[in-house]
Amino acid sequence: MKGSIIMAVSEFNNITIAVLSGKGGTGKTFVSTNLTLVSHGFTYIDCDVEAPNGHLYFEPQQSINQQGVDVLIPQFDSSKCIQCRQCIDFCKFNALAMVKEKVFVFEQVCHHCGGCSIVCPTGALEEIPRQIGVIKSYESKGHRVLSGELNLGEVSGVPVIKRLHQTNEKNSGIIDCPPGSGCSVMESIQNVDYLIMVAEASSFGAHNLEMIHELAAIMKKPYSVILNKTTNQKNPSKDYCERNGIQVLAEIPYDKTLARWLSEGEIPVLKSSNYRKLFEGVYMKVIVGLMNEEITRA
Amino acid sequence: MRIVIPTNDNHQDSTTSSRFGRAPYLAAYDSLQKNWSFYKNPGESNTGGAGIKAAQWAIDIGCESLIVDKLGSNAADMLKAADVKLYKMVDGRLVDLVLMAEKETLPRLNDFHEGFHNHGGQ
Repeated sequence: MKGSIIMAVSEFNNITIAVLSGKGGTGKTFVSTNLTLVSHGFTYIDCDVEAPNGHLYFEPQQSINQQGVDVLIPQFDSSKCIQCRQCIDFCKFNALAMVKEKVFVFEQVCHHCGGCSIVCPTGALEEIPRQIGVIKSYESKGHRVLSGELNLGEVSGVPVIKRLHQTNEKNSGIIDCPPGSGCSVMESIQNVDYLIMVAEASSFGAHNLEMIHELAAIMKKPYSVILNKTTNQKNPSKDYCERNGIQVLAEIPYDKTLARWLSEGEIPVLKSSNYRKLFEGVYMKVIVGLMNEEITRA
Repeated sequence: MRIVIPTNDNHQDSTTSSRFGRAPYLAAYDSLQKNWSFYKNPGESNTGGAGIKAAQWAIDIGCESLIVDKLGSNAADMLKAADVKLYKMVDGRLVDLVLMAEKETLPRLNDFHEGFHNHGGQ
């Protein structure tokens, strides 16, 4: 079984699996770092660009390749403007306004579509690059690591996430998503093949699971759940999975040893054979799930 | 003088709205003609930049004074550049508020928030 799955993985190139959760602190980074290490050469991609922390587990071993991420922002030239307002009418995000014959450009509202400079009949709006973050790429623990970082004060990490996906190109990868179910999560999972939703054993956890479950349905992605930090008490997230017929890949009990390892930057699959087996099992189930998807589609 | 106040409804007895970009209506009072006009807020249904849209509207109709509870920094920058007087909203009927604006007895608005970044509709 295992041999044929490894064969299948090598035939399937370019598999991307996203790990997401409706809230922070459920264990996305825990799941994605461990899953990367039991995978067959997958890249670890930290899309949580507002607070990337995967590097705490995948510390860079050699040099880091760093690339800036720019967005294009219109720059206004009053000497060319004829106050026709076509740019302002065009901008659906209201990033442009006109006061006393002068165009205001609100850089943090701009979505960098370039439309204003196209519709401007006199060339009064020229797009100029502005750096909003960086992409770091390096090798660690036998895997390629890509980590996006949004500069402080920037509003949207979406362009950095977009660039992360472009940088990864056609390599298989585990994507460590930002928390929640907003724009940056949608951008992170848009082109992935499979979703693993990590849920905590609480009512709040179940509510957030429901939100990303809805998102998964809208995005038409195959998905399953990992129940993290479970105890012998009632688990509303588990109940939610049962009610909705969602596959549970694993239940990971609350474990103080695990918490200590994580706080020390250790990756549990490298410390314990039990955790290695657990994550190998998760990885196998996901690959089998993906193969079944392929069969259903074919 | 043209005075703009965000409101919840489109008549003179309407309550005031504590929001600007996402207030349902914008009331404009012409202190020369002494008449009121009520407009659907052009910013309200926008997913983002609602305050900017509403400020653009106010500037375009020739607003000279704006009475608001709170204002985002983007809209404030525009309104200040257009020399619109910004007053802090107090409890009271619309007629009382415009009277206070005319007499300049309303407090000036000096603090501006950073904006809600597409979450103002909630």
